[in-house]
Amino acid sequence: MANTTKEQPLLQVKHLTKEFPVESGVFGSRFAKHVSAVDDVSFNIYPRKTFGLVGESGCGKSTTGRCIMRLLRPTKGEVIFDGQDVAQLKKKELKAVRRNMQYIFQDPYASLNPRMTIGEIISEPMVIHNEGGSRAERIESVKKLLDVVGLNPEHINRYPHEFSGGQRQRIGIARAFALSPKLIICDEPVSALDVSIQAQVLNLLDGLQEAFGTAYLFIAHDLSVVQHISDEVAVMYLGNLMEYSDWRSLYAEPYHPYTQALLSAVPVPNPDIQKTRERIILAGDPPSPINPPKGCRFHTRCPIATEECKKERPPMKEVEAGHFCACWHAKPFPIEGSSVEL
Amino acid sequence: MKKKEQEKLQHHIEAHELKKKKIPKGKHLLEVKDLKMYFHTQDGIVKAVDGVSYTLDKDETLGVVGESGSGKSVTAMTIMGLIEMPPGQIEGGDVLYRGKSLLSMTEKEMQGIRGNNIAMIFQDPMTALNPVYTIGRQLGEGLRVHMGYSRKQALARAEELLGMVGIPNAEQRVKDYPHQFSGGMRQRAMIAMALACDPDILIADEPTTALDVTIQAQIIELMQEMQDKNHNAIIMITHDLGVVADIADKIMVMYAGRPVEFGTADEIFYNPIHPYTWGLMRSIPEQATEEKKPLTPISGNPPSLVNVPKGCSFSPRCPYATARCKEEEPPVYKTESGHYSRCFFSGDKAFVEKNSPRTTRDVATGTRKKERKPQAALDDTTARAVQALKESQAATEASNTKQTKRG
Amino acid sequence: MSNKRKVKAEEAKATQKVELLEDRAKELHAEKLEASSQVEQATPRPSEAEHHRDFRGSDNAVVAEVDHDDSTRTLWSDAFRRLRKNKLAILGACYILFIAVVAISADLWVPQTLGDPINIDTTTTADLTKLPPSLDHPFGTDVQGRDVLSRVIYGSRISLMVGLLATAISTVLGLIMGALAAYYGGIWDTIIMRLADIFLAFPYTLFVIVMLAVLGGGIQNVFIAIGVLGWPSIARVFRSAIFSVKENDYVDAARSMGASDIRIVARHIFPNSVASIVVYATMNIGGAILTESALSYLGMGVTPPNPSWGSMIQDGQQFLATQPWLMIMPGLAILTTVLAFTLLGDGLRDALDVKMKDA
Repeated sequence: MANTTKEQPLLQVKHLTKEFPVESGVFGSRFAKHVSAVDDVSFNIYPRKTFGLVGESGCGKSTTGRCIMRLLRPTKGEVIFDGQDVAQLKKKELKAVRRNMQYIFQDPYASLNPRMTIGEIISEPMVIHNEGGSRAERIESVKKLLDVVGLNPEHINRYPHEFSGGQRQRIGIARAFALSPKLIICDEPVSALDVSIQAQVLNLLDGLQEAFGTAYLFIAHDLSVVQHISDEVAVMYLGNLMEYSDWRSLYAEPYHPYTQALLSAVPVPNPDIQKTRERIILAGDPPSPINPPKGCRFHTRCPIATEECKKERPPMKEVEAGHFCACWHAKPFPIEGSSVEL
Repeated sequence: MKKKEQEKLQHHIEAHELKKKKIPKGKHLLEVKDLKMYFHTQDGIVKAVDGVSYTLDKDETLGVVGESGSGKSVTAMTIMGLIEMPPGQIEGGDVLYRGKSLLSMTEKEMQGIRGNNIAMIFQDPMTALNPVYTIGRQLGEGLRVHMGYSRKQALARAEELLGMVGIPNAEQRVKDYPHQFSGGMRQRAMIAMALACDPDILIADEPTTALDVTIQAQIIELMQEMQDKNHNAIIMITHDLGVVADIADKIMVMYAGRPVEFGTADEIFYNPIHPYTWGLMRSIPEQATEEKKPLTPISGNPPSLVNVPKGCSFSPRCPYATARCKEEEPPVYKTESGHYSRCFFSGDKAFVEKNSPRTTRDVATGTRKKERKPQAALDDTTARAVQALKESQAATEASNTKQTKRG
Repeated sequence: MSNKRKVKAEEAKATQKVELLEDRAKELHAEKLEASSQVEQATPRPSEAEHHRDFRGSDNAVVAEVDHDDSTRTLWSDAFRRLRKNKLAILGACYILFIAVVAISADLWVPQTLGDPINIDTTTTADLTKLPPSLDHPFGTDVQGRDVLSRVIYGSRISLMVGLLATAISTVLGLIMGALAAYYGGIWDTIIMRLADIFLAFPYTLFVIVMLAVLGGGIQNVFIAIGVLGWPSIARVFRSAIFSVKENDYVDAARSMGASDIRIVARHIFPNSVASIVVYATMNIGGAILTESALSYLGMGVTPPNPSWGSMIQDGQQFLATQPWLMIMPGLAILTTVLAFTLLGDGLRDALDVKMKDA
C-alpha cells in the first residue's frame, strides 16, 4: 500500500458494489434493469489522512460516499470502519458508528435546515448522541466551533439564509466537526463555491484536519482541488476504480490512459504551458451505466484500446510501489500514439 | 404581398448589409465604451455593470473573468439587448458594432442583429434548447428567420452544421430531440446553432461550466477550430482563469460590476497589476508534482451590488488596502499597450514586483517552478480557538463518563 | 449529593463559563481592534506567508443584514416581520380581525342599536320594510323590516365558524392522510392518493349536497360535510411538500448524524412542509365560506329565519331591480371576506418562504 507506515487503516472498503433498479413501468421489477453505479471498488483510508476520490459526473463517486455512510445500502461488498462492517449493521449499531463518521455536502443551500438556527444546526449531533453536556455547555461549544471555522460566535441565533454560500459551507463544516469524528466524508464541498471562497474553505479543511487529526474522504470532480488536499488519490470512471496511488505518483506519473486524459484536460492558468503541453482529448461521452461496456469500461473512449480490453476487465495491479492501476496497457505518460484528436 | 414581406424582412436585410460592410477606419468590430447598466430595484440601485470598456476585432477572443455577481453576464446581455428595461436602465456609455451604436437601435433592428451578427451560447445547454422541437428544426430556425431559407434548405444546412461541430451520424441526429443528446453533444448543437448564420461575434456565457472536464476540453477545442475557420470574434465569459488561458487574446477581470483589470492574456497572466487578479491566481490550486503550494484565498465575500463599498470596491477584501483606498475611487491606470487597472498602486513598479504572484514561463519542463511551502504554523488566535474547543470537548466528555458511572 | 448543593455547584459552574466567555469575547475584540489598526497603518503588507497563516480566514460579514435582537428570533417572528411589510396581507388580516371582533361581540350591542336580526317586530314591520340605506339602517332593511347590517353581522358568525371549523376538520384529516401516504409510501401511498383522486373527481358542491341529504340539514352538518370532503387537496399538498423536503440534503445530513426517524420527521420534515399547509388552509377558509354561502343560497345550509349571507342573497334576489341593497350587501360581505383570506394566504406564502431574502 502507498502508506508505508504499518498503521491500521481506519476504513476499509472491499469490493463495494451498488446497483440501482431502473423502473421499467409495465412489467414491474422482475424485468427491471439495473444501473451499476459502483462496481467492485476497494480502497483503504488511514487515520489523519485525506483520500481523494475523483471522477466525472455519474462515475459513482458520490454513491460510494453515500454507501460508506450507509445513506445507501451497498448491494455487495464490505465497508469496515473501526472493525465493524457498516454495510451489515443494525440501526442501533449504526448510530454509534455515525458518531465517528460525518458527512459534508456539496450544496450549501440544501444541506442546512432553513427552519433551524445556526446554533441548533451545529449542536444537533451533540443532541442526537446526547453528548456535550448541558444546554449551556453545548451553546458554549457551538460558539467555540463557530470561532474555529471563522464565523462570528454572536451569530449563533441566526438562520442559514442570512449567510453566503461560503459561510454556509463553514457552518456545515462546524456541524461535521461538532463531535470530533474520526472520518469525514466531504462530498464535493467546494464545487458550488466561487474560486476565492473555494480556497478559503480548502484552507479551513486543511487546518482543521491538522488540528483535530480527522481523516477525510474527499470526493470531487476537480483534479486540482483533489490534488491540493489529498494524500492519496483514486480515479473513478463509470463505477470502477481506474487508478489509485499517493498523490505525487498519480499526478507526476499517471499510468492509466483515463487519468492521463483527465489530467491533460484540466486547463492550466498559464497560457504558455496550456498552449504547448501534450494533451489527450478524449472523443465522445461516457457511456450509460445502465448498459456499461464489457471488458474495461473505458475501452470505448480509450485511445489505446485493443481487442483484449473489450473482452476482459483488467485487474487492479501494482505498477510501482504503492501505485495501482487497472489497465492492460498501463504505461507512464505520455502514451505513444495518443495524439491530440477531436 | 411581396412588398409587405420585404418590409417584414427589412431589418434582417439591413443587418446582413451591415455584416458585409467594411469597418470604418479607426473603428473596431465591437467597441464598448464606459458602459453602465443599472437595475432599479426595491432594495436600491444595483450597479450591475459600471464602466466597462473594451474593443474587439475579428479573429480575436476576449476572456471575461469574474466571480458570480461580478456583472460579467449582464455585460454580454446588455450588448445583445436582452436586458429587460425596466428594471434595467442604461446609465451611460455606448456599444458600437462596426461603428454603429447597438444601444440606439430599435427592438426590430436588434432582432436582425441577434443570431445573425452577434450570437450567444448559454451555460446550460438543456434549458437553452427547447425540448419540444427537434435539434434540426431549432438549428434551422435562425436560418429561416435571418436568411429566408425554406424548411428543406434549413434542414440540409442543419445537417451540415451538426457534422461540422463533430456530431457523428448527423443526418440521423437532426431528427432527435434535445433529451436524446448528451450534455456535451447539446453544447455542440448550441455552438452549431450559434454559428448557423456565420455571426461576426460569438458570445459564450460559461459554455463549459456545466460540463465535465474531458468534455470541456472538447468544447474549447471546437470553439477554437470554428474560429480558425470562420474568423469570428469570441467573447468568452467564465469564472475559471484556466479556461481562457489558451484561447483568449485579451482578458478583462471584473469585480463588483467593474472591470478591475484589462490586458492581453500575457499581461494578465505574467504581469498582473491588480490585487484582485493576484488573489484569483493565488486561489487556484495548482497542479503540482513535487510540493503542494499553499492557497492564499481572498478573505471575505464579494460585496452586494446594492451596497458597493466606498472607494475601491475591492478594498474591504484587499490585503494591501490603505485608508485612501477606502475613501477614494482609484483612477484607471493605463500603460502604453492598453493594459489598464483600477488600483492606486498599479503604477508602483516596486509594489507590483514585490506582491504579484509570479507565474513562470518555464515551458521546457512543462510545469511551473514551485515555491516552497512555508511552515504551516497555526496562527496564534486560531491555535487558541482550537485549543479552547478541544478542552471543552474533553471536559464535557469527562463529565459525561462521570455521570454515566454515577448513574 | 443533596439537590440544593447540586444546584449551587451548577450555578457556580455556569458563572465560571460566562466569565470565560466574556474573556474570550474581550480577547476577540482586542484582536479585531489590533487587526483594523494594522490595516489603517496603510503600508501594504508584504509577505505572502503572513496572510495565510490563519486557516480560518474569518468570514464574519452577514449577508442579509436585518435589524433585530438576536436573542428573541424565531421562525415565526421572522415570518411575522416579513408579513408586516406586505400591505395587502396586513389589510386582509385587519379586515378578518375586524369582522371577527364584530361577530364575537355582536350580542352585546347589535340588537340594541341596529335591531333584532331574527325576530320580526310585528308592531312596526309595515313602516320599516325595505327601507333604503340610511343613518339609522346603514345597509337598509329587508322585506320583514329587519336591519340588513344586523343580519349581515350575525351571518358573519355562521360564515366564519363554518370557514374555520370546516377547514380545521379538513386540515387535520388531510395532514393525517398526507403524512401516512408520504411516510409509508408504496401501497399505502397508492391507496390514499387514488382515494383522494376519486374524491376530487366528483363535483365538489354536488358532493356536499349529497352528503347533506344523507346527514340531514343543520349547521353542524354543513361544516362536517365541507370539512370531511376538503381533505383530499390538503393531503395532496402536504404529501408533495413532504416529498420535496425529503429530497433535501439536510435530511440526509440528519440521517448521517444518526438521528432517529421520529427526530427527522419532527425537526426536519414537518417544520419545512407545514408552511405550505398554513398557506393552503388560510386560502381554504375562503373557499369553505363560499361553499357555505352556496349551500345556504340553495336552501341546504342554514335554515331561516337564521341569517346567513347565502340565504340573504337568495331572499334579496327578487328585489334586485327595486331594492338592490338586499342582495348587494350580503354579496359584498362574502366578496370582501373571501378576498381578505386570499390576500392573507398570499402574504403568508411569501412570509413563510425562507428562501426569499428580506426585501
